[in-house]
Amino acid sequence: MKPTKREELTEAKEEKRLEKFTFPDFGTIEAENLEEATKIYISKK
Amino acid sequence: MAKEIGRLHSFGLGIEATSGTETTSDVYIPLTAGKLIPQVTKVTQENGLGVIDQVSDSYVTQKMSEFPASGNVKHTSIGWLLLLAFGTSGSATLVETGVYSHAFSRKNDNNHPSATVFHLNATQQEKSVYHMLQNVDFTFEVGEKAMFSLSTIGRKIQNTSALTTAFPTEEDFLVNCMEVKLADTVAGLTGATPISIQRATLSIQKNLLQVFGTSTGSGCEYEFATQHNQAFAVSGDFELKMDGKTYQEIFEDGDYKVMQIKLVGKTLIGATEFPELTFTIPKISFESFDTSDTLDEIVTQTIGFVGMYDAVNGITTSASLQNAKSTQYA
Repeated sequence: MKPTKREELTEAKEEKRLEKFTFPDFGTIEAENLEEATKIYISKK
Repeated sequence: MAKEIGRLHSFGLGIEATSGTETTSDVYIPLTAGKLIPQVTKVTQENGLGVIDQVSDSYVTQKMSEFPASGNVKHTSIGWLLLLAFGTSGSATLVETGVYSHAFSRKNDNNHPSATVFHLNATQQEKSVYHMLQNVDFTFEVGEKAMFSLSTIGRKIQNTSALTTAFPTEEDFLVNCMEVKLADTVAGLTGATPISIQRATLSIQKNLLQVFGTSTGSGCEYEFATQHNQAFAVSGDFELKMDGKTYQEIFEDGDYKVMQIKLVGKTLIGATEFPELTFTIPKISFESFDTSDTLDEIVTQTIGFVGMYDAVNGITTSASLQNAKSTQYA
């Protein structure tokens, strides 16, 4: 059965969206949250 | 620390799961001014000692810290401040793909969320736990960006390490894109015509109380045991050119109005949606009315208002923030 509009919205909500964080003198990293972004930053810097 | 300019200083906030227990930073907030300053209360020994000299000793009795800060209202980081102001943030609600709405409502108790405040500069890092919001004041002036200033109170400052600054990618709200509405009912806001004002302020006061007590362990106790928000108060004012007696008459008659202040961003964050921050105050009373009397300038009127608890809607004020953050502010 085709999902209703509400079901489609709920499914979309469940997708994890990445946020952008800007590290001074480095650049922008996309991650789920600040903690994850910091881990990526430390591994890259 | 090395000598350096204020731009090298960053401030972060982490919402504490248990008030007073350190957590990691959830967000670093871009500020135009901010400092984490020690608040130490002392008593002095001023007994007469057979000399004319006034003071002979000083004893520390209380150790706290204060975080006064101000900055531009930005569409993601402001949510953390709204959580501290209101006490509750609902789950992120999908508006359209990539766009979410966050509802902030006044938590009806005296134990609102607290945050660990982090401060770092080029050479030194500090933290302070159990910070609660004392007040947040928003200033909206046409031609400027929406601004906030706030003050938080927490426990004493401690040194820390391993902090890394990273700011959310977000945009400012311009007051030129702000919409102000007055109506008789909340439902009436939808069809109400926005009024063109030149300036407005909105303040939330939380009247913090720190409970200091006698020692419960070894040694003396200088830090507060608990901290509590007390009476929740909302007030503000707005200014516009004087072109009639409408607002003067509302002030004189003592009528209540519903007020909505809605900030809208300029960059699409979804297919059709922009960042938005909306304050709704369902029952305001005009508590003051004044006009300017400068001879060579267009006369302005300034209306001061107080947000009242509205039993119909069960709130004094609420806020709604629309942005791209898919997770709850918590």
